[in-house]
Amino acid sequence: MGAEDVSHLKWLMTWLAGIGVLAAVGVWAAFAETLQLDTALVVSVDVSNSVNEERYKLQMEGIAKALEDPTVVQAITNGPNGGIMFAMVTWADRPTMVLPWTKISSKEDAQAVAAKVRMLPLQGGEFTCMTRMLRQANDKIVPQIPARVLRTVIDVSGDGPDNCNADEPIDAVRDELVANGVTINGLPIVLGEDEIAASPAPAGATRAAADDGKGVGLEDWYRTHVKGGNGSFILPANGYGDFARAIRQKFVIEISGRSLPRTFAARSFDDGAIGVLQFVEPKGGVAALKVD
Amino acid sequence: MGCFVQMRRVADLQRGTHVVALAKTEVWTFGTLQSCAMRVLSPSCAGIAAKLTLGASHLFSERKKRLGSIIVVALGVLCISSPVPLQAQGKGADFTARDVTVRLFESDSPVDFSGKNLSNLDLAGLDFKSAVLAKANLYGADLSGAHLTGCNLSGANLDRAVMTRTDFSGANLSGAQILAPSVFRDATFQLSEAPNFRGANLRGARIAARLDGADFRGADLSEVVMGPTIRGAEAGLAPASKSYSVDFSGAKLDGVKIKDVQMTFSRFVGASLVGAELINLDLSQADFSGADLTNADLSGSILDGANLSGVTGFDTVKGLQSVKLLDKARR
Repeated sequence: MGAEDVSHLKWLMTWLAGIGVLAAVGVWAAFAETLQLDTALVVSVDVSNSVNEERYKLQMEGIAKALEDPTVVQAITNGPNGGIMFAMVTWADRPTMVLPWTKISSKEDAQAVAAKVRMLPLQGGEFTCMTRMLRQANDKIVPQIPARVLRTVIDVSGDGPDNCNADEPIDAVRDELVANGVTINGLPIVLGEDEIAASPAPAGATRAAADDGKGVGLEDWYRTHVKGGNGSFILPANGYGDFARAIRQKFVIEISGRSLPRTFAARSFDDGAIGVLQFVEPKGGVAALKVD
Repeated sequence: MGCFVQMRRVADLQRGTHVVALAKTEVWTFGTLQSCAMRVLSPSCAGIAAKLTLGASHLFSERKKRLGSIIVVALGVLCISSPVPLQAQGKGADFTARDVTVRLFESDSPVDFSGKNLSNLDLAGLDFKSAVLAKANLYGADLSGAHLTGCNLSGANLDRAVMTRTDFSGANLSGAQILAPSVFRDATFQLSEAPNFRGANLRGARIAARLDGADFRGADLSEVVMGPTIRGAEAGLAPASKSYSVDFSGAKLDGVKIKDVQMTFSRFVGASLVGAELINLDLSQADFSGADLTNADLSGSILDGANLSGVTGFDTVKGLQSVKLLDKARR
């Protein structure tokens, strides 16, 4: 190799290095331009026939209070990127995105979203078409998160199983969401006998269908067909009166990104005791997660 | 589901000694296989699926049936075992609804879907961001609440699409076909659910639809054929023969052909209807104030209570002798 060749090679290497640096700067700039947040949280709320105005208000108030809760706000602002994206869907016969993706990175943001949640009118329907809601989440809501996030979580709450005769199995849609990196957590609202009696006919019927001859309750139906993805869990509410407690605890866990042990002893909660979450460790021991 | 069953048949044929039978139905098989594989794979892998099926086809023609069979079976198993339900993604569509959403969301410039098959997809609520959908097949697609503002839909097929509250304002729908779409959620025909075509270019489009309350203000509907008697449309269907309270104010309807439609309470304020054929229409209480009806043909139409004040070219209107209740019109 002659001196001329070496010089040519050096010239070439210099150019390549320059191009590499420029490309790296470009990628970094593009990355930095994209909004970086911790969690993208979709809260999906059942507004089917069994949800009357009073139960709807209990749910909306529960979500609003949870957003205003200091522990939840702390969980939001203490994350690595100091904020989350929040969206809300109500679903009955069809899902409706009632609150588009909104950034929450401060107490004031959280309070503003809470105020919007309180003002959302009930857009109810007849059936519990959960599969359609998950399909919409997979096809429309999750792909349009306007930020780069560490995790995407869908909160599904409702008082009955899917009763909509969807044209695809709910498990398939759930698996598709999981394959797309989404975690789906369930908040089944387990109605007491008095609440079932007070519900319109379909709610009682679907609840009975969930239990029908298989010894499978709503909580287990959620565990089998809804729950999925990394660190997913089921946290039931004991009736609508318990919804606020459950959704608040759920938010803290989801937003803080803590990974929960496999078995979650939700039943051991003492109603109203918000200070400490207890759960069973995989090996059987009991641990406590202090959230207040 | 039909595709699924067909693929099962392909797999069944492959089991045992039925390769010869497969070869006899080569064209059908490879067509089915390719479309199935392309639908269960992501768009980026669809090209690979197409090449594999083509390669397998060549191997068959070159008598290398064993290797060809292996490729066919592999693709068939992939299709059959796919957890993705084919029907839910829109039968025969080139994309899934998620693909469309992602492309629209991630692109800064108008996405090109021209000539693509988007039939039966749930595209409700999507913002198409001035996408190019020229000659796209949107048959049966759910476009309710979708924003198609400024989109190029020229020559597109929108038959049986769901158009509840769809925004087509400023879109180019020239030469498009809109036959028997679903506009209303139920039989109460809420006018607020009608699509918006304000300022759209519908020149030469073919429409057979119930569009009560639709907004065509300022739109170009020149040479549009509207009504239930279009060749190929489901002629005579009642839903296609009514369109109450449609607003054509300021629209250009020169040479439009509308026949056998009840259009009571519709508004044509300031519209240009030069040479328009408005045959056998119920235009009771319609408002034509300030409209240009030069050389228009109103044969057989009803003008009970219609407002004809300030109409220009009324003396050139044809078929006035067969117009019903003209004496009840306000002039």
